[in-house]
Amino acid sequence: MVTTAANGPHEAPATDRRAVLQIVRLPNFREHAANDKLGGNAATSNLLDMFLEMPNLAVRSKVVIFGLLPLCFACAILFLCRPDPPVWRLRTTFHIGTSVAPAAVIDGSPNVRSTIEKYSSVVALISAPAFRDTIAGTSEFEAGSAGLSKRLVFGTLRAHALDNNAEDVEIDFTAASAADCRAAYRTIARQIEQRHALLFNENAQQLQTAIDDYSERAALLAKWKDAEVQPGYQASTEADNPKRGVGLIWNETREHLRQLEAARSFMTPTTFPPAAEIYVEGPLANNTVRMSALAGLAVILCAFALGWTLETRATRRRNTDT
Amino acid sequence: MISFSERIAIVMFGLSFFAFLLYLLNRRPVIFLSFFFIIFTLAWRMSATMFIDLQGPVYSSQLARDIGPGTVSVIHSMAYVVSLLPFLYCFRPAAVEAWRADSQQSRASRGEITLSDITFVVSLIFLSFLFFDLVRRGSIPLFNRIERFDYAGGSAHRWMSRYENFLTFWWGLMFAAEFIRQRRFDWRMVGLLGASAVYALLTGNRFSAFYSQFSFFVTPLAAIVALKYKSSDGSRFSWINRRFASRAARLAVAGFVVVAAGTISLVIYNNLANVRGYVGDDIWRQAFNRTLIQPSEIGWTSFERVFENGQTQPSVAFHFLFEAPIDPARNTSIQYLMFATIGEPRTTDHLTHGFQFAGGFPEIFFELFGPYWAWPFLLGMGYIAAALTALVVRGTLRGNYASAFLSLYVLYGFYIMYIGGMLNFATTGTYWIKLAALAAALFIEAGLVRIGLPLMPWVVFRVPRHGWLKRLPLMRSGPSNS
Repeated sequence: MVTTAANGPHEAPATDRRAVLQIVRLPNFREHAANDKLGGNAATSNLLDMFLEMPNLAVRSKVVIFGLLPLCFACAILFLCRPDPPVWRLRTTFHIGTSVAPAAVIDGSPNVRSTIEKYSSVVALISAPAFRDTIAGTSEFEAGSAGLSKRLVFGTLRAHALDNNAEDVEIDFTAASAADCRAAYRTIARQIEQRHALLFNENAQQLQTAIDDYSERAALLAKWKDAEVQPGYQASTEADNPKRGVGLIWNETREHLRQLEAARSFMTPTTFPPAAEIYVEGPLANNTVRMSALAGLAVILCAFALGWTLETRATRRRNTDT
Repeated sequence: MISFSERIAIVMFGLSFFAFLLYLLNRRPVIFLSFFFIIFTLAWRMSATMFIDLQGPVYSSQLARDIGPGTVSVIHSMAYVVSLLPFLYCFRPAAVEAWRADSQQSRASRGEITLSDITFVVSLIFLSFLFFDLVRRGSIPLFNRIERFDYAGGSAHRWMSRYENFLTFWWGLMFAAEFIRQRRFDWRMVGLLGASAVYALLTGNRFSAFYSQFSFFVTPLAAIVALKYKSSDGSRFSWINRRFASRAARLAVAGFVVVAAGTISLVIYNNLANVRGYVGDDIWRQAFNRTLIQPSEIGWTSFERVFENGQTQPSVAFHFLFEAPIDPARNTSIQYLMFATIGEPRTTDHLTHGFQFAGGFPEIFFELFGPYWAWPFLLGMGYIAAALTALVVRGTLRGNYASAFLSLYVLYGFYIMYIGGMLNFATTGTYWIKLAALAAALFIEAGLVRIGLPLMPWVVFRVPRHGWLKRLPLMRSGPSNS
């Protein structure tokens, strides 16, 4: 029987000279033999070599290196990676106001209402560097933490729309203190509300114009209608009568007017929750890098241990088989 | 700003990762070559991350903000080591010895047409058509200042663009098979690789095409290293020293490196200056940004969110990645990272123009599983990648070319994960078909080996002793030795 190196150099019950020679020629044979001579543990050496193959080193040296490496890295993580200052995180959702399209009301379209500004435009606005810069630059941060808060707000402010909801937008950012979070939040709210107030007023103006227009029309039609019902009035021909069906049109106009006036109630401004009511998460102790790196080191050591165990069991099984 | 001790930590962890790679190159060349495609990317990204950490704040033109400094290098170097650690187990010396002992070294006799002969003829026909089609169309991107992704080409060009990695892998596989079985360098395959590189050059490619073609070609060559060199032998870099022992071999390699570096530099310059129209300092700035900022900018901002600001939202990340991405047909991880960094509208805008940022690994694991639970998942993914890579090398040594190729096909999903963080490759039906095909190939090969038959035979057919085929130059003329 000729074994492969996988069976290890010590287990083969070689019966003929050729097989013995083959085993002696196997690459790790000399190394294992040397380790045995040194009184070292060949199995230990083999297991260490599985991960850190250093054939010129004695087993003791390998064990020392193997032990020192993780220790060294653990110390480096603990003593070199200092925790950053704690931060506060603010997450909240604001509601984009609703506008009304007068033309859609008159057409009887089901899509009468829409947001004052499309949510994607709002998200794009908040994500834009110019906006973030304005917020970071104009917010009234506390004197001690202003520098860090400016950097954090500029770097972390982001917004996204919620699923299947085109009216709510979530904003999320971090600052150096809860007060700074609220200061930045107030600035964001002010900026967006001012922008939307203009759009809201513009829309209200459009709606008012449409209402005025239809009121005038309704008044005019009412006059014509009154004239039509005067005694003695008679059109020469039916086709020449410009006020044919005035009553019908008057009714329609009055209905549109009613709908437009009713639509005014659909209009809502953009609203932000009051700053005092918003929960600011923190202080978030920034020890995450250190703890995560230690967790990574633990996983590396566990992987070594697992590989070690698997190889030990496999070696034992092979020994039992032979 | 970061403290002095943090600078030491960044340098220490960054350099320890490079030391680990040096160890692989020195003592575990089989791992280094078989996983070179990813190892190179990780090394590049580590350099970029260290640069941002140490040199920051640096301006990122794509993110329109300053990034850095920080301690990302500490986390990323450990993540890379955790990902590569399972390779040490899957490629442990005893396993490699076992594959070597089982290596298929039966030679083809005189007059027998092998798989590599067929590969050469078919590839030659295909490449001839590819060049003919390029010339026939009249516009050659390199000379006509056309961007590589603007050049449509014909169906052959599109096929080549899509499958060139697999094609070059197959050429590398045949090169390795010729060496293992026939004990000769199959320069025909090297010639095909060279022709393919020239085609990439002409069609306006810059660096990535050459890098990926070369990497996929050398992947199966790890089997030659496994066969020829034992890691316990000799001094440092013994496998390199012995292979390039002669002065002529060293000069040839040095010449190749100089020519390749020079060509790639010229091609990049041509692309930036003549195709994209940058002038003066902008050329240098663009090349600099692409090399040292863009590979790690997304990783840095993700680190800032997850580790520094605690802005982890695993449920949102999961929902975005697997349930409601912007474009489910593409890499959703980078979509999420872009979305979280530059906002939804800009991300959608970039994606609709076919553009996405670089990076994605390992940051997507930290976004998805948080800063602590990501580690076991990184290790698990590394183990699967290591096992598949081991199958490629083992299949090459044993002459199981079907399973070697299919293993790479399945491994490719993990390659994309390491390059761009893609995780949704596993949610597509076709990926599971590939996996099933690999399982079937392994099962059939294991069955056939008992009766001494291969699934994909090395000798395809035997040429009659007399006839026109006998006079073809590709017929092998070596001594008969079965």
